[in-house]
Amino acid sequence: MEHELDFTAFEGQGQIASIFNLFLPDVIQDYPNLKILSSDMSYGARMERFKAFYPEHFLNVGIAEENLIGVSAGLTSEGYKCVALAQATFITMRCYEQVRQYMSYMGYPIVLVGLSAGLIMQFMGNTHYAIEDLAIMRVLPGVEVLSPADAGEAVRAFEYALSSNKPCYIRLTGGADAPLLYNQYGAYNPSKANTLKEGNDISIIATGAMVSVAMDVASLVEEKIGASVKVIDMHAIQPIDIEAVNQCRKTTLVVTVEEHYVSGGLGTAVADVLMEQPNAPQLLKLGIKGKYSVVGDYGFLKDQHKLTSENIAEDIISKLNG
Amino acid sequence: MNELEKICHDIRVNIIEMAYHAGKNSAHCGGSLSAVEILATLYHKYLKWDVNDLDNRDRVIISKAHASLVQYCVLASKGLLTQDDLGTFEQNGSHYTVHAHKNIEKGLEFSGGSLGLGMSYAVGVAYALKEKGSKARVYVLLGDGECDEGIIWEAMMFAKHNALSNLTVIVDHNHLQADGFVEEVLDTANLAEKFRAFGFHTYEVDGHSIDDLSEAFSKPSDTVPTAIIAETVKGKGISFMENKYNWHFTVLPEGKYKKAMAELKAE
Repeated sequence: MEHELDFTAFEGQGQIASIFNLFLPDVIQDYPNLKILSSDMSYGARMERFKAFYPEHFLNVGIAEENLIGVSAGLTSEGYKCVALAQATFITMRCYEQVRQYMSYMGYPIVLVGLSAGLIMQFMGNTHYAIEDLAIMRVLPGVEVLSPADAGEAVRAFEYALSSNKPCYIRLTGGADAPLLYNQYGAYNPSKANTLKEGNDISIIATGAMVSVAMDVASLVEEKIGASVKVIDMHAIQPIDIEAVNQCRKTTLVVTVEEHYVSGGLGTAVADVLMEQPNAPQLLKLGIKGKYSVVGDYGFLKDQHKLTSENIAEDIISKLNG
Repeated sequence: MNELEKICHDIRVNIIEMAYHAGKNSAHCGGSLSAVEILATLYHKYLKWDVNDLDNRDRVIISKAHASLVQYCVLASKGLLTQDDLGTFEQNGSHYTVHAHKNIEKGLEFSGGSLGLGMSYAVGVAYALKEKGSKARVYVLLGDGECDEGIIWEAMMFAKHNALSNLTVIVDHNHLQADGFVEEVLDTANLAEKFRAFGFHTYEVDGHSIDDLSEAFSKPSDTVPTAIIAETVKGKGISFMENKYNWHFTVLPEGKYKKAMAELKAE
C-alpha cells in the first residue's frame, strides 16, 4: 500500500519524526490491526500526537525489551500486526534471543524499529551507540534488515514493512537536520538498491545516514583527482542487492561506508558478494574500527572514526595512490 | 484409583517408556513427572479445546518446555497425539523433540526451549484475547528454577498492570533445577508471596492432589491474573528419581527402566 506523500514536509524532521509524527497518524486508519509497542520510548519516538488520537493502537510495556518482544509475539499470534520500537542498541541486543526466537525461528512478521542507531546518541555515550546491530541482525534467517538513507526513504521502508508478511528490522540513523536525498520515492523494494550517481572509476556503497556523506565524498574526490565516482544507497543489508554489488566490478575500487563496526555489517556483506567470483576489485571498508568512542557530538564522533566526507575522500585517494 | 488417577498413572508409564526409548539421547524425566497431575487435571477437567473451534480454544503454553514428555503424553491421553507419535520422541527427523515445536492443531501452542520466554508470550496472547473480548483462557506452566529468569518478572508486572484476569500461571514448584536444589542455586524464597506482591490472586496447593488443583483451577480471579503455586516432587512416582536433581536430564538404562515400570505396575 503506497500513500501519497509530500516529501518536502520531511525537511528538518529526521527519520523518526517523519515516520511517527508525520506519516503514521495520517495513515493509521488503513491498518486496523496495527499495534505499536514500545519499552517506554514513545516520547523519544515523537509519538505524542499519535498516542493522543489513537491510544488503542499503542501499548507501552515498560522498560522491558525482552517482554516487549514476547508480548509482540503473543499479539502477532492472535492476529495483530506489531511494530516494536526502542533505541536501536537496546531493541537489538537486550532482547536478541527473543528476536531470534519469534521473528526468525517462528517467522512472526514483527517490525522492529531501532531508533537512533549509529553514533547519533552523541553525549549519551557508548552504551547508547548501536554499531553492532547490522552484524547481528543480518545473520538471522528470514529477517529483512532495512537501513534507510533519509527521512523519505525511511517512511517508505516503514510503509512497506507495515504491509509485509516478513519480519524486518528498520535501522533509523541520522539527526533531525540530516539532509534529504529523495524528493520522490515509489514503492519500496528491499531487493533493489538505489544508484544515486553513476561513475566509472570508483564505487561507493553506503547505507543509512552515511549515504548523504558518500554523495559529498563523490564530489570531493571528483574535484580533487578527477576520478568518476558512483554512489549506491544500499538501503537493505538483508537481502543485499547482489546485482548492484556486482555492477561495481566495472570500477577499480569499491568503497563501503557505514556508521557501524567495519566488520560484520555492510562492508562484510559486500565482501561476501564480491569474493564469490574471481577478479574482485579492490575493497576499502570504512566504518568504526573495533574500538569504543571518546564521547562527543555527532561531528566529533564522525571525525574521530574518520567518517566525515573529508576523511573518507582522503582515505580513498591514499588507497588509490597505494 | 479413579479415572483421572488412572490417566495420571498411564501418563507416567508413557513417560518412562519414552525416556527409555530415547536411549542415549537422554530425557527430562524429573520435571515431567512432577507436572503430571497439574496438566492432567487441567486438560481433562478444565480446558476448553476443540479442533473444530480453534479460535475459541484455551491456550496452554508450556514455558518449562523441557517437560515435553508430560506435555506429549497428556496430549496423547486427550487423543491429540498417537502412540506412534510418542514413539518418535527424540528420533531423527521427528516433530516431537525435546522442546515442542508450535503446531496448534496438535495442541502445541508454542515453540519452547528458552526458559522464561513462554511467560512473556503468554501475557501477549492474554492481552490480545482480552482486547478482542474472547472468553478463552491462557494457561502457562512455569518451573520454579525458570523463575530465575528476569523476563518472568517483567511479564508478571505487565499481566497485573493490564488486569489480565484471563491468565492462570502455574508454577511447578518441585524445588530442583539442573544443578541442584533451587534453595541452594538461587533461592526463590517464598514464591507465593512474590506472586501476591506482584498482584496475582495466588493459590498454594499440593501439586499432586487433583482435588487441590481442581479447587484452584475452578476459581480464577475475575479481576487480576491468577497464580497456582503447585508444591510438587521432582521425579514423582519413581522412588529413585524423587528429589534427585540428577534425574533432571539423563539416560534411563535398562535396569532402572525395569525398576521404574515395576514400581508403576505395583500401584
